[in-house]
Amino acid sequence: MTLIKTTPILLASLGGLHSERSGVANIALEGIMLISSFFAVVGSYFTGNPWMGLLIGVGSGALTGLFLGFMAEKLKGDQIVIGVAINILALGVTGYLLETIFGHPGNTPPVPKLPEIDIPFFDRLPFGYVFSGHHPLVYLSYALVPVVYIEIFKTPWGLRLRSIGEKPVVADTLGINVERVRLISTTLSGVFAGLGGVALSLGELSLFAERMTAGRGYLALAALIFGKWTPTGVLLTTLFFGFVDAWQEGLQGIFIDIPSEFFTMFPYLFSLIVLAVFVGKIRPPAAIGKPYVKGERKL
Amino acid sequence: MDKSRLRSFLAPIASIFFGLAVGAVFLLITGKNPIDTYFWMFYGAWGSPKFVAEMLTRSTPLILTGLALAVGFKAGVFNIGAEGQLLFGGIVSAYIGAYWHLPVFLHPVIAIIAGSLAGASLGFIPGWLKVKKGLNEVVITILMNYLAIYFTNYLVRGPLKYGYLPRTKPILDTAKLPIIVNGTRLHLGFILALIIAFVLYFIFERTVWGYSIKAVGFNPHASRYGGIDVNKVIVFSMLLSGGLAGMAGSIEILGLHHRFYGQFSPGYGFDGIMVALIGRNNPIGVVFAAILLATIRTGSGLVQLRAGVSKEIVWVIQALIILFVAVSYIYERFFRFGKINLQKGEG
Repeated sequence: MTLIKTTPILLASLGGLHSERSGVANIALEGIMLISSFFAVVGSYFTGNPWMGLLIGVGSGALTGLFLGFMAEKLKGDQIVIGVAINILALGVTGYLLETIFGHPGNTPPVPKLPEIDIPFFDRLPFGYVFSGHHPLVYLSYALVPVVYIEIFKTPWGLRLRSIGEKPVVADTLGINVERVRLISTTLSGVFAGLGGVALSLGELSLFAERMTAGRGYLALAALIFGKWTPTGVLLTTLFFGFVDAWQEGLQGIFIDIPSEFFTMFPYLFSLIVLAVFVGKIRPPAAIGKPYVKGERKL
Repeated sequence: MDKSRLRSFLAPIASIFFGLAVGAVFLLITGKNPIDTYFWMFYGAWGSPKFVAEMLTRSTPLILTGLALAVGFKAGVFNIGAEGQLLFGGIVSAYIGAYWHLPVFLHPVIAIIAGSLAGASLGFIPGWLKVKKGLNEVVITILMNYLAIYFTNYLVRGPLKYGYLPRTKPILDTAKLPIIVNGTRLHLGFILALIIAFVLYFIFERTVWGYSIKAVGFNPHASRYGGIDVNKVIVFSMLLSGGLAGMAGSIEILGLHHRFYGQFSPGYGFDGIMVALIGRNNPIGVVFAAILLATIRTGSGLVQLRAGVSKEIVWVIQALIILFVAVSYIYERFFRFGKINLQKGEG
């Protein structure tokens, strides 16, 4: 269970990593996930094909990411304000279209979902079910961790992206197009967060329900900061969240007479304690939150 | 009125106008009638004295959470945790209102003070962690929101549960805030919120404390050189912000709901973000912004009923207005750059 539940948060967190490493703060992850999870269901509903749903969902996420980049870099808007606006817009657009397209609020009818895939050898092992029989995005999310690591830390593109997140002036002087890299990075963050949204609506479930992301985008943001903006850190943190979550669900089953909310609190409480006590001083990318204006003197 | 003041007055109005205009396009695309929609939205909030009273009732928590966020923004901290602080303030006040026996006038006063302190103590934690460990307050307050939501829900399902439903015991009559317009739900809390807004306006415009909060928000490094204890100001503004959010929850319970239950706040803490942004962090502006949002929301009931448009349109319009607020900030910054460059060029 841990592995499946971790997937949407892991994907969104890897998305946030792209935009934040390039210097664009991304609190819009929540909204991007919500939009993608909705449009994926709409796509699957009208085409009858969950793969088309996946494509449409991820596309809508990419567009939302690009919109964030456009507002933040082309129009030099306040990234936090834009993020807030996108999150609210996502609530409104999905809720409104849900009612307008499907005729009633709450949730959509069930639609074709992504198939579950058995891994040939694993399904015969004891405990093999832990690693086998999941929807494809589960495997993809873990496979993407090393891919993103190589992308960000071992390729020229990744170096450019990171340099822009630290000292855009220097990168600009060296002939890197700051705006373009940031537009690409926010679009990529939309693709990843979009995959996370689709994993929720067409992977775990087979429908869209209002506000179904329920704060996962914000958790992804927390995981990104815990994980100190590295793919491995993000993976470990999301797995930690996942384990604590599975553990508290287990406790809920044992202590039935204690209201479940008492245990639901645990992942957040633990995260807070870990952050406050064990994690050392955290240093975000230096240029985060600041739009880059050519020729503006700023130290 | 000098130019920058005029701009800071006109920019939000332009944002609202453009937000409504793009909202109208959105309505047209989805096959609805925007004129009908906006007419009923306005009528539902201003069409009769009773509607106005209901709208003002709904604006009360928005004013207070808007002020909470505005105080934070002024000092350069983003208190997304207002929702949790509001719930905490609400449950503390609900407890005192129901279980303590106090005289008529004193009861709500004590309950409000305790609720505000509860919110403030929740605001203190992220402020302190930010100053001591450099932890981003956004993440801490987001985590603390979940803590507060689940913790208060646990309390109303467990130790504080009263009756069959997950809610607390109703507060005593001595603790209730009086209704100020007969036959409506409008309670004294609205007047309190207005007074708080004016007090904050005075603090920011006329006192050293208010000035140092603004200075820290504008440029923490320069403030430090200027002899301001930046850390202290940040912690203080988070305390104040949390206190205001706690007060919002407290007043909402004592004036309107008279008991605590999980869904009494439909996200007023988060709405405070919008209110503060539209009101440009000015306490008086916040009052107007809260009334604007309350208008859109109170009117949305009739919109659904009469114009056959989903209530959710409210969120689309709100988001569009915020987007235009973000853009209006941008244009002003460019105006300012222009000026500075000119002066430098001449000098």
